[in-house]
Amino acid sequence: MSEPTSEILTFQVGTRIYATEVYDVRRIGHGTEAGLTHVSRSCLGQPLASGRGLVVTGTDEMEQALDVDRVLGIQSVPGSSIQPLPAFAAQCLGSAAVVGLVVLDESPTPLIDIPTLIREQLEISAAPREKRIPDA
Amino acid sequence: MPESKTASAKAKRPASRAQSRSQSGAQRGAQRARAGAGLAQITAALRALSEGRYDTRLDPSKFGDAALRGLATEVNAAAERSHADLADAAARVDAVTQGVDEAIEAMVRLVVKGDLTGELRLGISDAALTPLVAGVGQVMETLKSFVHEIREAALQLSTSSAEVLAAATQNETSTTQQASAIHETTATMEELKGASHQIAENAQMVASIAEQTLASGRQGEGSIKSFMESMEKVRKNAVEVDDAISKLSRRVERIGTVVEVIDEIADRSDLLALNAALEGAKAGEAGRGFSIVAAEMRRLAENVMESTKEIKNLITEIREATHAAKQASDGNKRMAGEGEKLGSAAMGSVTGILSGIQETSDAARVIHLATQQQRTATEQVVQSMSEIEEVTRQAQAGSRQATGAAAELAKLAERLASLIQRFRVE
Repeated sequence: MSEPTSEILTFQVGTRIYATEVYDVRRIGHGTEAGLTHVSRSCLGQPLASGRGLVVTGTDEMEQALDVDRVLGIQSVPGSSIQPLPAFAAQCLGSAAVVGLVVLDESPTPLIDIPTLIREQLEISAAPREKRIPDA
Repeated sequence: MPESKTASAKAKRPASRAQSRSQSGAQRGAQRARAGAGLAQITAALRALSEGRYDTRLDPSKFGDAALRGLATEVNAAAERSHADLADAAARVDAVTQGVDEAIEAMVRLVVKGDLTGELRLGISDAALTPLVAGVGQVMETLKSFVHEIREAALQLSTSSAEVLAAATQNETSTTQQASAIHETTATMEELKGASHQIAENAQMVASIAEQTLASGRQGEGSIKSFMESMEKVRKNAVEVDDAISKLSRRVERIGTVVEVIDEIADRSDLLALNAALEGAKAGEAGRGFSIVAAEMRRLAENVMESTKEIKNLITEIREATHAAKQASDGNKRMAGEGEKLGSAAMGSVTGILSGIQETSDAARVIHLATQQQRTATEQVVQSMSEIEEVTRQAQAGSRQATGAAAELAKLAERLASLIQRFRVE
């Protein structure tokens, strides 16, 4: 009986590589696509070129996009490759968007909950300045 | 006296012969014979007197004829008288001679002593010598006058000879200095001759160099013309290159636009492929094939984007190269324009230089001719100076001789003055 797999989308912000589950991404658009709420700056860093936008569906069914430099691809990984974030580490992080680590090519890659990340970032942007959480 | 005896004998011989011829007539004949003999004696006596034999005398007693006796007596008286007159004349001659000797001796004595201050005092009382005394006095006065004049002349001669000596000495000095100056001048002219020769050679060299420079300048003028033609070609080529670069730039821009379109298409393809892969992944096992196709599409799109990226890089390089070529072409045009300007300026300068060189060449030629004439003239001057030096040398010798002669003349003048000083006239 084969091991269940997960479909993982990998993307790059700056020089760092992150991963997310394909089901969190509605579609992939341009980084400069109009009619979307773009989040460029986040705890993942700031893209250099904003070539792509990972579009998700917001709470009000409006599309929101996390600007990234590149979408590296989509690959199937074994379920065992995805590990939840340790509780201590989760407590240490200021964001709930980092949900675990996925091992890609023997390298642990942060697994990002993009809708959560966008929501947090939009909340931070809407909050008064003194209450903003510093960048990761 | 032999003559008287002879005359008597001669008188006796006719009488003897008359006695032998005729006795009667002998008487008259004897008388005539005696008379003839007496006349012959008288004639002989007169002949002797006429011949200067003033001591001839007749014995009147021996003349029988009274007339002859008287004649003989008169002859004797005339002889005596003549003898006495001659004695008186001789005495007077002696007296005059003595007076003359005395006068001459006195005059000689005065002359020898040189004392002409006094008058000549002679003890001559003979009236006949009065003119002589007067003449001697006049001679003495004339001598005094001569001595006086000679003294003055000697003094003037001495002064003049001293002046002549001084002038001759000065002349000799001047001649010597002149000879020295002429010698130095001749030496200088010899040096000048050498210098003129050198100058003539240098002038010829300058003329030759000026000719060569003129030829080189004309070659330079031709080179500048060629250069300007080349610059014109370069400028035209630069314009053509500029046009070609502009065309190339437009083509490249066009290619860039096409590449941008391709890149845009590839990007969209990539995006489509990503979304297809995303949907395929979401579809699970059912979308596996779709995902594979999408992945292949994405790979192609990425290849295209890589290619377009390379093309963009190439276009960027081509743009940079085109820009550099444009700048180079502009620089070439600008440099060609400046080259033409510089060529024109150089042409103007070379034209001026050629004109100057031409004038220099003409001037050098004129200088060359002038220096040749100068050399010839200098040689003539040197020749003339040599002749002048020779003449001056002769003049110097003549001046020395003149100085010597003047010195001798001065000595003679002094000696003449010394001699004439012996004569005191005052």
